[in-house]
Amino acid sequence: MMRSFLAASDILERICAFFGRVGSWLIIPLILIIVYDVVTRKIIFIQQFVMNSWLYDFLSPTKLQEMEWHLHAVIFLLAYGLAYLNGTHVRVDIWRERQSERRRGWLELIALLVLAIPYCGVLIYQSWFFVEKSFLQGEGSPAMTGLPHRWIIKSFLLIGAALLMASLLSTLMRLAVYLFGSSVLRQEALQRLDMVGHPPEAADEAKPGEVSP
Amino acid sequence: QERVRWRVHSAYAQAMPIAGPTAWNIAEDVETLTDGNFDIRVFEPGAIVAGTQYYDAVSEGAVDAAYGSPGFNVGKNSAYAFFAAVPFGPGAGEMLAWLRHGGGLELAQEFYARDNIHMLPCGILPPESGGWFRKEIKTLEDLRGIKMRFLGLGAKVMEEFGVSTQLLAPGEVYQALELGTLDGAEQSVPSIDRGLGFYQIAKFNYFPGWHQQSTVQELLINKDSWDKLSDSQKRTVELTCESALVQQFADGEAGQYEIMQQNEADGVATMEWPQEMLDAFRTAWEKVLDAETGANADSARVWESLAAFRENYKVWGERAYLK
Amino acid sequence: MTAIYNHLYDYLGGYMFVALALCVFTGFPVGLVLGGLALLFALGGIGLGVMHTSELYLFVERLWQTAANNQILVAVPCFIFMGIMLEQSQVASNLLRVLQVLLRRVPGGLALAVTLLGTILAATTGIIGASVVMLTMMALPAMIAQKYDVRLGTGTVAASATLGILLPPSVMLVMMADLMAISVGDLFLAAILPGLMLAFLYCVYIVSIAAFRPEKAPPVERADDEIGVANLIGMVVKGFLPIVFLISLVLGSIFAGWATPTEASGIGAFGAILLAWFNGKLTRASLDKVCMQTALTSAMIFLIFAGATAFSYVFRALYGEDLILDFIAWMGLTHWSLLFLLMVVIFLLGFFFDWLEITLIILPVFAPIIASFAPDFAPALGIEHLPAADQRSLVLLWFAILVSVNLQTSFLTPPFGFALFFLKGAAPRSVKIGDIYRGIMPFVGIQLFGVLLLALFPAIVFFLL
Ligand code: NA
Ligand code: NA
Repeated sequence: MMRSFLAASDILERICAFFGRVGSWLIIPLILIIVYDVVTRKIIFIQQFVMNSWLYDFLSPTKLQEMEWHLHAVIFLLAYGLAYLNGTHVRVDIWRERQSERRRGWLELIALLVLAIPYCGVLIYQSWFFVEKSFLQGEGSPAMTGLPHRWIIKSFLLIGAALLMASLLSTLMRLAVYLFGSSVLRQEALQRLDMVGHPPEAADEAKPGEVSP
Repeated sequence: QERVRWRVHSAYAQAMPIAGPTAWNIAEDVETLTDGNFDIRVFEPGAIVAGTQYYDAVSEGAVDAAYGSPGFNVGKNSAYAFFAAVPFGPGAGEMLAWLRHGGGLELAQEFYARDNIHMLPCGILPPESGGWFRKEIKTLEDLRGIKMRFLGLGAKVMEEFGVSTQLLAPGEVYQALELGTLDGAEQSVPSIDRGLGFYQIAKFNYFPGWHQQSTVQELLINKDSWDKLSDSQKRTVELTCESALVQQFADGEAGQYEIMQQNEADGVATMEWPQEMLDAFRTAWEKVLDAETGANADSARVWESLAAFRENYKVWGERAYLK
Repeated sequence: MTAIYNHLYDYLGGYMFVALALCVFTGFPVGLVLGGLALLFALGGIGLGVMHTSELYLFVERLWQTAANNQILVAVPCFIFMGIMLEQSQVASNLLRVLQVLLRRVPGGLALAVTLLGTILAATTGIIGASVVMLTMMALPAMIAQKYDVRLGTGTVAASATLGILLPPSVMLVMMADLMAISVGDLFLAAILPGLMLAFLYCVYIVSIAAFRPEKAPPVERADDEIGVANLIGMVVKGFLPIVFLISLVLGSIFAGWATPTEASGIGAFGAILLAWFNGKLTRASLDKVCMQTALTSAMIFLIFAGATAFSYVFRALYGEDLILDFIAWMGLTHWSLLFLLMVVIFLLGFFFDWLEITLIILPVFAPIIASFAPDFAPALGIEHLPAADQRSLVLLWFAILVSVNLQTSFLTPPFGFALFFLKGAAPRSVKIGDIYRGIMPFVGIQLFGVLLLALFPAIVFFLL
């Protein structure tokens, strides 16, 4: 049972890593859209050519400018979960780094159960209505010349919260193995628990954002 | 009788002229009229939700009510645009007449009720200015290729003439206009535009504001919160809104000339759209309107009602008022 | 029992601070601590009948509105991308090496260069998350490598990167102008000299530290190939040219009226890709790494946004701000003492809140009161000869600037200085939050000194008007 916990936690981590990576590449189209929008704004013949063609349905400035924040939202939402597993989320660890590994494990477990999981649960529960409402209303851009189908971008809020939950549950299972499992499994679990196991010095080389194998 | 406490969002900062204090005035009046038994706490834009994005919060009951304009809700249903203002639409008197006697309010309340919202008209603003431009616009050709901040149905009309309408963040419009990233912008009535500082950087201010001849304001109330009120409390809110409507209309009409005089003293040229341009805007608007009513059945219903009313109203309106 | 109920009903909002101060030191991720506490206290508020379950919907709605549906925040991933890309392609390290060599005789030369870079960056963005992360990525590793005192390094980076909120363009100033009904343009102009004054004060501090405690800012040793005019010129070209190209691209596109500041960040990111390609460092693997780091760092920033927006909402819903407002009203003060108390309160709120929440609590209530005191302030501001309306608007402007500098400080005050969190998230792991906390203290002192100067010499505010 404990071993299956570890296996399941690895699957959850892989899901978070997959979506995080896919999302991260969207920064490239984001940059290109900005460059395109800025350049064509000042080159009037291109702008007017696009305006008078079918391309305008996709490339009007209002649509492009909305697409910018759409992409930005997808980028950070899809990385919520992976950032937790990688230890990118900021911690004020003045007191914590002086505690034993065991105690750090307990702290993380309690904080997960009392703070993080309930909060993330509310995010998932409420964002379901948030997306559903948008879908039923057929919500579009309040600019009227912007992008339609707001529910699509809004659903990334739900996905982001779900990925965060996946990372929290993954860590919860590892902590359960570390705190309550057999001594062999404990070591395996500890290796997967960055925030508990490695003192910050040992991870000196690792930059924030480096994907753990 | 049990004491009622409401949390109300305002789309306008209290410090903003004319429409700014309205929500706070309503709260004060309701409290006075009920001897303090109905306590309304109004929150600044951003304190609970962002200024114009209050629709879902009211619908969910996360706030009891919100003060704003139907024009802010067009993302939810583009038909809401017609309850706030339409290009070449009616002025304040005719607009109120349609809402009360032409079936406008019934339609509005029907649409809002789908999202568990009760809507009350709660203010009306005079015509907006027709926009601020860095350069003089003499002909339609001068519009081609310029970049303008413009929202809503009016934006679609402008696009017909080659205007590239932009949706820059509100915080960046001033600087964009100053540096020429934008060539023009439209926002609101002169006294509200004044606070945005457009007079300092875009020296051509055009009239009339064909895209918005009057702007209806709304109090959106969560249906559950509304149903919990006693009949006397409901009537208190309704009458307070009526009073706010008159107050805002008077303030709006009285509050513009002084600002326009100040603008002119600061070097702004007050311009008038040439008649042939207004005619062209109107023709383009009819095209945009066809597309809109074709795409949204609700819009078609509202337009049918509004157009029918306006047709009848002409009999009186075109004869009664001096041109 | 009733006594306890009544006490909690009135003061539950106040207890949120106590809980936050305790829980943040458990070392659990800050954003999740904020979000979790928001939920726990909301449940408490629901139990007491102050809040309603439907208000939990706002956790999602506010996250959406503040972080996602926000055009201006697009600058965050773009600037982060630019910072990481410049570091990956060694453009940043080349630049800082040149600066070190050129400024080797100037005490604290590298720190001064960082301050200058922060000030330039401030003219291109008003988003703290973007500028702090970018400056941290580019400069902090170099400062550590040169054996700078970590505290001096982090303090310099955090303070100069937050200048962006004071120097235009700045969302904060736009928002304040809106709340106080003063002109954005005037506020932008009024903020320029105070912002530059702060940058100057940072420099004075850095130079004095380097002069009196040279071990904290050691001068650089030149390598063999860095001696001689020819080598130096080569270095300068290699180090400066790319960054000059990039800065002109970003600043140029703004001031030529091609792009808004937000868009200029995207242009800068594109420029950074071009530079990496030119340096032969643009590979699929490196691009992958930069994208990944960008996404993770953005997630770090916006998880804090998510928690903070829930926390501040619940605080407001529990009538926490009434505690503050009632306290100030209870003091019943007149003009100077009220101003002083407001400054102290804003400073203290800065330990826990972001500028947005503080302005929403303080400005709507107190800006009109300060304005009503305009005739009392006028003699001290040297504007008593002006008509009453002008006095009023100048006093408001001066007040807005005092508040702005104070709010900039709110990003820097531990335990809840967002700039400090962003810095920690972007810094090498060897940099401890404790060092960051201690390193920022002198700069917080400088900020307060700056507020004092502006209060005593209002001419600094009015000079450019
Ligand atoms: Na700035
Ligand atoms: Na702070």
